[in-house]
Amino acid sequence: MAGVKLQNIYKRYGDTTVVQDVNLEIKDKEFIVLVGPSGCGKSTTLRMIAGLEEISDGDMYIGDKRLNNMPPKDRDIAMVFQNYALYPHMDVYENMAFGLKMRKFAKPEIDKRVHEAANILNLESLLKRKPKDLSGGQRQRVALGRAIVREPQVFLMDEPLSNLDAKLRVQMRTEISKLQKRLQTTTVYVTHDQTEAMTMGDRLVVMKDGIIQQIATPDEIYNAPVNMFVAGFIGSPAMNFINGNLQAQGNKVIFTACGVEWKLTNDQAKKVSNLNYVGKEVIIGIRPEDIRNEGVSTESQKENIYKTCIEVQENTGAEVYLHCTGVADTMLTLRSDCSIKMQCGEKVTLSMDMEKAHLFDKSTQQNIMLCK
Amino acid sequence: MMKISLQKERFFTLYFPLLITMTFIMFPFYWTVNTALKNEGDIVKTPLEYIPSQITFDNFINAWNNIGFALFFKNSLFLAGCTVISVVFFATLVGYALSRYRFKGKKAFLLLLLCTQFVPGAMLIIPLFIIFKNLGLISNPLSLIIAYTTFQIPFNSILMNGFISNVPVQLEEAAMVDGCSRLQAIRHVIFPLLLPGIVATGVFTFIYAWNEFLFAFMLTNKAANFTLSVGLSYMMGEFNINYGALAAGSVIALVPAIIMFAYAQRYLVNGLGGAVKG
Repeated sequence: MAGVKLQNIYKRYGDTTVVQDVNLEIKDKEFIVLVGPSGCGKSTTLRMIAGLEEISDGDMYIGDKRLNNMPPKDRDIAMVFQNYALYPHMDVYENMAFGLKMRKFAKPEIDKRVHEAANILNLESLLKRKPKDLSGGQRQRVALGRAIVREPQVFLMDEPLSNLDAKLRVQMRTEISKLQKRLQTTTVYVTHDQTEAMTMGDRLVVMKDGIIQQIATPDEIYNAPVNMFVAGFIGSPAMNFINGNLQAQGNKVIFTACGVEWKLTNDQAKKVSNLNYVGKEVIIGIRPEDIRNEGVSTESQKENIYKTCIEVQENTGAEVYLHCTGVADTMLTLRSDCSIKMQCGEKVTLSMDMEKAHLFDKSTQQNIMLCK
Repeated sequence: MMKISLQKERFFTLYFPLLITMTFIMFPFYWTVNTALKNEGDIVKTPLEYIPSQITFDNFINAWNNIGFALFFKNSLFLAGCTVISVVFFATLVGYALSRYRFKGKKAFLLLLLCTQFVPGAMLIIPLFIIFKNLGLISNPLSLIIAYTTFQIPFNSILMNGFISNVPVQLEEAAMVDGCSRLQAIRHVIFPLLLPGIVATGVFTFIYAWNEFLFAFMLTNKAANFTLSVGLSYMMGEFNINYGALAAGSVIALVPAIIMFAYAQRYLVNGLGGAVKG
């Protein structure tokens, strides 16, 4: 096992730069998830680690070995592809044994490892089947099996669950996490699904347009996103953003926008005053679960209210998403308890939990609370 | 009532035209087999016999043993075999490059490959003859192998490009991550999956080389080097035509081509449509 280090990595195709100045240190045994929208360079980064794409600039290391010009076969990595890439002309056993055979392992050793992996992944009864006779989930497990028999230094997974149906995806998600915990192999996992990223990764790397936006634990990413992109990308339903102004009122700082007046917490007020944001335009971000509609009770909740009406309700069974008319032509989404029965068009008074609100600079879109 | 008129409509719009076309196409084949099975006297007898009154295999025995069709068959087989090997080799390499690599002028190159198909072979006979004469290859089977290979590479490369593009590139990448070099990945993973395509390419080339007449006729002048098609043409002399041997020779020549085509026709549709599923 070993860590992976990416130093100032660039990938260019002609004049287009698809990966820009990526610096990432993946610790030994860590499960790291590269996440971002399509075309953000996450798969390209993974393919550079695999050696399937050339690195245009920068250095890459696994352990202490520099990998830049090393062919994939010498890198001691295993990869799981989105479409599984199982060899159609080989049966499950041969698919799993292929990598070991190419590395000239002895037959008994190959046999032992394949059966061990098959046992872990519940594939024992399928060893003689061809990939075309397997279901999507089984193919996925064979692809995983092919990776684990090799006992490589690093697992690379390129959206391995995106071809599965929703239920199976959730099930495989846990299986992969369990497997990684058990094998303790450094894993780099690429996905565009933020739920997958949040649930699986020890740390997430959020990317956009080839640039890393934030590297942090799921908790940190969710609760302290560095910018509006990260804040909006992670979390479902997405964070609400409202444009407004900061104004001083006595020793307090107030966020105002189209008739709303919300009081910033003392910490927030201190920070924005120090950074001279008072009197300037900012964007406030509030997650759907930080807006309450259960009735206004405490004093602070009385201060930060917004009166609106429900436009659309989405019932997921466990909770209801209420989409309300927001401030200045925006929509405001909140998470609500299923037990509170609401009607579309009903007037509600919402209270904002300003403790959990995020403030963003309007021009740089950076999280003001994290600025130094 | 309605049902009957629908059936009638179907017959006249579908089966009837198909029947006419089939008859039109199949009649020459039928007549060749019919003639080959008749004896000399019955072939020219009037009124014509549509079903031979007496079936004989004399024409086949005569053509094979006395006229030299055994040798022509062997020559054709050798030529077609060598052509198949060289075309499959080059077309696979070109097809791989076209399918897997991005390079400058790729589109122009593909267009050029297609353009070669527009040039009629007859137009190139004289230059080819002069080239081979200068090389001292006239009446040497090598000249025909070179000519056939040259003419077959473009079409078959396009065909192979289609077949190779249908093998997901991830399979190759998976093999490379699994410990193969690119060539090993091709050998262990791509080649086995490409086998149907390679067989198809081989069969088409074989049928072409087997049936080709013009080049074989122009570039060979010794009976020992005649191919089947050239041998057949010599059955038609200036003053008489050996109908029996001509028909029997044609049937002999037809058999391998029909067997091969029956096997390969589904690959042709798939290869050109680009719809082979793994």
